[in-house]
Amino acid sequence: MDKILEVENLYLYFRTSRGDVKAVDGVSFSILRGETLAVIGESGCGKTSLARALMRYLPRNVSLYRGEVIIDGINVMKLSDREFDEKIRWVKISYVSQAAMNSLNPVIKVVDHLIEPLILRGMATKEVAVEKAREMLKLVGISEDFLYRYPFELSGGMRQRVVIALSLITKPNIVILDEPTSALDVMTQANIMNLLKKLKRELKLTYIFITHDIGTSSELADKVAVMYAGKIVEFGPSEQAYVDPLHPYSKALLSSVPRLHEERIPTFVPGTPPSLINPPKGCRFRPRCPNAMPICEKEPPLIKIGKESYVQCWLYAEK
Amino acid sequence: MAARLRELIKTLFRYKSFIIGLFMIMFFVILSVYAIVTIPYDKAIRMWNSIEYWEDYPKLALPAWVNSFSSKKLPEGTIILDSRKTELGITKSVQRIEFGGVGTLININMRFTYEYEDFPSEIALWFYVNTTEPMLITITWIKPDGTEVSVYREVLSSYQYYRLTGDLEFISRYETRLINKLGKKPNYQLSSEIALFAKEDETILDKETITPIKGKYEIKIKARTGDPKANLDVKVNIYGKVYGLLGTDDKRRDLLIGILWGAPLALSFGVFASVATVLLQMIIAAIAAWYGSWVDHLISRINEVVMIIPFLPLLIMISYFYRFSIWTLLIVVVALSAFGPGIKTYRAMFLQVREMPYIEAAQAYGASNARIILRYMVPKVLPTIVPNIVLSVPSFVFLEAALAILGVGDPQAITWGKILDEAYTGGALYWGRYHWILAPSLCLVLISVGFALMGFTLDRVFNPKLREM
Amino acid sequence: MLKYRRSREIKRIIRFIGIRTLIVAISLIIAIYLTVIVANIGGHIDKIMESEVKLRVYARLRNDPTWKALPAEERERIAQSQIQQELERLGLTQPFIIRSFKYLQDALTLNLGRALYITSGGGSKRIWDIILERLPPTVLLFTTANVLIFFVEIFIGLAASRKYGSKLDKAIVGFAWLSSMPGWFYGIFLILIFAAWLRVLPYGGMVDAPPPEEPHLYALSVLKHMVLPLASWLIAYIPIGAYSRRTFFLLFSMEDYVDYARARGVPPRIIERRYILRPTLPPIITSFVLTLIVSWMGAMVTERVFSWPGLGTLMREAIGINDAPVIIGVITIYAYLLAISVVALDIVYAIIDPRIRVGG
Repeated sequence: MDKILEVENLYLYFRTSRGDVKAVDGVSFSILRGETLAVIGESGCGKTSLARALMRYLPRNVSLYRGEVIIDGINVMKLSDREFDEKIRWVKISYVSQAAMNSLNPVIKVVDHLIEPLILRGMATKEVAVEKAREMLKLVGISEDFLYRYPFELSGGMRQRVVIALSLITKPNIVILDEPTSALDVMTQANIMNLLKKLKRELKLTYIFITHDIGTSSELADKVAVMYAGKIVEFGPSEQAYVDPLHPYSKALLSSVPRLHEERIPTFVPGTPPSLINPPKGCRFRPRCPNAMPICEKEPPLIKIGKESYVQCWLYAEK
Repeated sequence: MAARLRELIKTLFRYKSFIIGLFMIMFFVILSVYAIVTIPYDKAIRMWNSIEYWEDYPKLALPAWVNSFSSKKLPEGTIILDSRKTELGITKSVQRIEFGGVGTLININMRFTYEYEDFPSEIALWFYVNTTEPMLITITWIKPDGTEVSVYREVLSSYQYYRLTGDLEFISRYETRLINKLGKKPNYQLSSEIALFAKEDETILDKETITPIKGKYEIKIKARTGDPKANLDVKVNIYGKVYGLLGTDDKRRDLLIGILWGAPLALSFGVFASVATVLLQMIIAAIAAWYGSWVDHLISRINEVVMIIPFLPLLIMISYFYRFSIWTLLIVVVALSAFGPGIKTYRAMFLQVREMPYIEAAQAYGASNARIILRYMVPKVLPTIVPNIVLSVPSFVFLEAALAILGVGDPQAITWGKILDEAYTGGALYWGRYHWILAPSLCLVLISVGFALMGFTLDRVFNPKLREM
Repeated sequence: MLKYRRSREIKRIIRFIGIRTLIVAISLIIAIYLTVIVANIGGHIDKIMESEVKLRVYARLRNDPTWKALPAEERERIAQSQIQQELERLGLTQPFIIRSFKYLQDALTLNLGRALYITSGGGSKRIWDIILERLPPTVLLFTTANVLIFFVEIFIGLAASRKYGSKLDKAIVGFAWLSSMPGWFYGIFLILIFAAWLRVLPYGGMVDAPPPEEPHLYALSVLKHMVLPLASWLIAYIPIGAYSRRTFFLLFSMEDYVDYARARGVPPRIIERRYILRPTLPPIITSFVLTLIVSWMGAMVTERVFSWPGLGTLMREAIGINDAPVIIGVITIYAYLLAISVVALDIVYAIIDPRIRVGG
């Protein structure tokens, strides 16, 4: 199994009137082909910014964007914008956005949404593209009838499926899913999760699943990355991360999820998420950490645990 | 709340545009106060619409300060020689004849000095004749160089107004006199003023070279009548070409007064109309949004229908048939605008506010509908409304001006729009009386720009939808 | 399947247009009825109708030789009785309410009667003829101005919205106050500068006097006369229009679907056209209707200022010489023109907004 995505020291800062937002502050990880990586964390911890950094979908006020990103063997950071658009964007990696409810153009029919990427990239003629759109809709479980409908004629769940179809129609290898089920009711959530599982199998996809909902992500995840204040504080196989988390933050996150067969009362993480403009010095979780030690005033290094995991916490440092 | 208000106001003042706008409006507020204090409204109206009041003012005079830029010093104001007043330079003698026939002999001598380098615009005479028998009146005009011109020889029995300007008979007589004296006719159309003020040599023959003689002039008036108790008074007005700060219009009115009183009218009309319209629209929108169902439906339909009704043409027609005073006009305008387009926007806003949880909470504790509307919903919408009010003031000011230009405004009001219309119809552009058009126009511009600048800044500060992008 | 949908769509569009037309028609009727009532509270329309009747009766009688042979008193008596009969026949002696409906009907069917003093160029006194003569210039000037403004506004607004804070953007925000003054006001100044002072453009009117014979020279002359009126409108109405379009486009470009399209790598040109412009078209049309309504009103005064031989000048003339029937006729036509423009735009709206076609 080869590594389909390798990220090393990825930085993404935005300039604002109040200072630089350090949204992605030195992130490193890798995923194998066919895996699902769940990126979990509170709102505002930089998850979506990570996705944007990987997609090179940047706003105008970027102040820092650097690092190594190797997708399928290609070092994409070295590519020009045009090359990235032609060779990587929606070719190797695509993105399902948050708020899929509103991600579709209200005055354009479903079919036109779907054929657009194919036609814009010269991947197919119009007739062929329409056929592919038809197939895609079937694949995501929507009746062909809806091909010529407008987005407002579809329910929330259906729209989400269309967005998923849209992200897959160019047959990319990696799909970043940014909170794909947050706005849906529980039944629809379950349906979409099943769909995602099926698609992963049939199309041999690699997922990066971004969410704050630990429960849903655990269904799909092979690997887990816990983000806090722009950094990944824990990374490892899901069995480890969900059952026996290492980092105090991960522990707190997981104990805040109610379990079916436990009697204990879920806890919460006290305090508020840190500002990304002026993050706390040293370990970023220190102000809220129950295990804070004096040494935590210095930023902890990435400590490898076992073959595939690492954690950024002094608790696991060799003394 | 109050602290936030202070914050907002401080932010407002950081914008240059707001301060400039504020200054402009303050200027007009001060003018308005001055106008109201110095000349009360009804007096101003009577004054503005009377002909007699302006009798002694020159017609279509340019502003006096024009003289600083002109090569020739233009005559300013009016030289008024009134035999009824005891002034230097005017002597009057009344002789009663008792023997050799009964009657009265009256001699009036008027002297004045003329130092200007251009001719008067107009000369007029008033004969206040009080006699039971016909009175023969002769007038001789003596120029500083001694030249005598016989101006008038008529028999009058009663009051007579005589406009020397444009008296073709006098002009042609004078032309003949010139031909006799100089052998040639002037190469342009003579006027009475030139006849009475120019040097009678070759310079008078060419339009380029005519100049008035500077010095002491004398007017000798002799009257004779058989009525031994008769009396005669004469007033002679020699009208200049410039006057005052803003000149005069074709009815001789001092434009400064018109402009001055235009300020409070423009301000009050614009502000009242704006405030009333926006408030009414807001209340109607609030009622529609709050009560919902058929009330909302009805109001929305009425709103749609009213929007399509041609507002101005109707207004014109109503004004035409019912020559309104400016205050009735105000009420009609507000009534017609109350169901206007603003309602749709405010209603949408109120609908949003209605969904907020604290409204539900207020209902739960039993607040009355009126209280909820007034104390909770309206303040939420106020930040959008205040800029709207300020921004729509100019449109109402111009609405009044538009009605004036179409000829259906308040016939007696003193508004900038009316002055503008009179200037336009009176051919100000054609005759080069630019001050007549520019004075009201400039005021209209300043007041609009003032409100617009303030309004746009208010919008930016109160509605920071696009502040942080 | 698609055919079924198509016919359903068409039915929906027709229903929508039908409802809109109904509302506009109601406005029209109310507006004209108001006109009738206001005009007749002073008894004006009654007088007009009476004089019409008198005209007809006398004209008819004069063709009757037996009537002409009678003595003056007799003639008068017969004329009066016939006039009375005619008035009763037409229902003009009825109470006010009933009469007002008759007048309403007349106005709606554009049976506008005869002018008191004004005549058309061809010598006709029929108001319909007079108005027909003045209609084309108004429509020409007015339509050109609005179409120009519509497209320039969108173009500038779009260009400005591309770069928030750019020079163009700041300029638009900075110049929006220009629109606080109406077009006719700028017209006066433009005339001052270009006609009175520089003497390069005419003071007013639609065509040189005497008008050129050849059609293309005539057209050129009209164009020359259109420059200042159009310019005055462009200066007055484009700043605020560009400002609100730009705000519009900025807000719409922050929509999620635009964001997502950018993430997909859709080229900026296509984003602009398909993702920003297309969705904003329905609300733009709606606000254009509003602008249209407002500018119809301004048109009257502009025509007066430029002596443009259209309905506005006709109105002013009629007011000047107290020709009440013409005033009423012009207002009726204005109401109709407004109604027609609104319905036309509603039709366009129905076609471009998919929510109307499809429902939802």
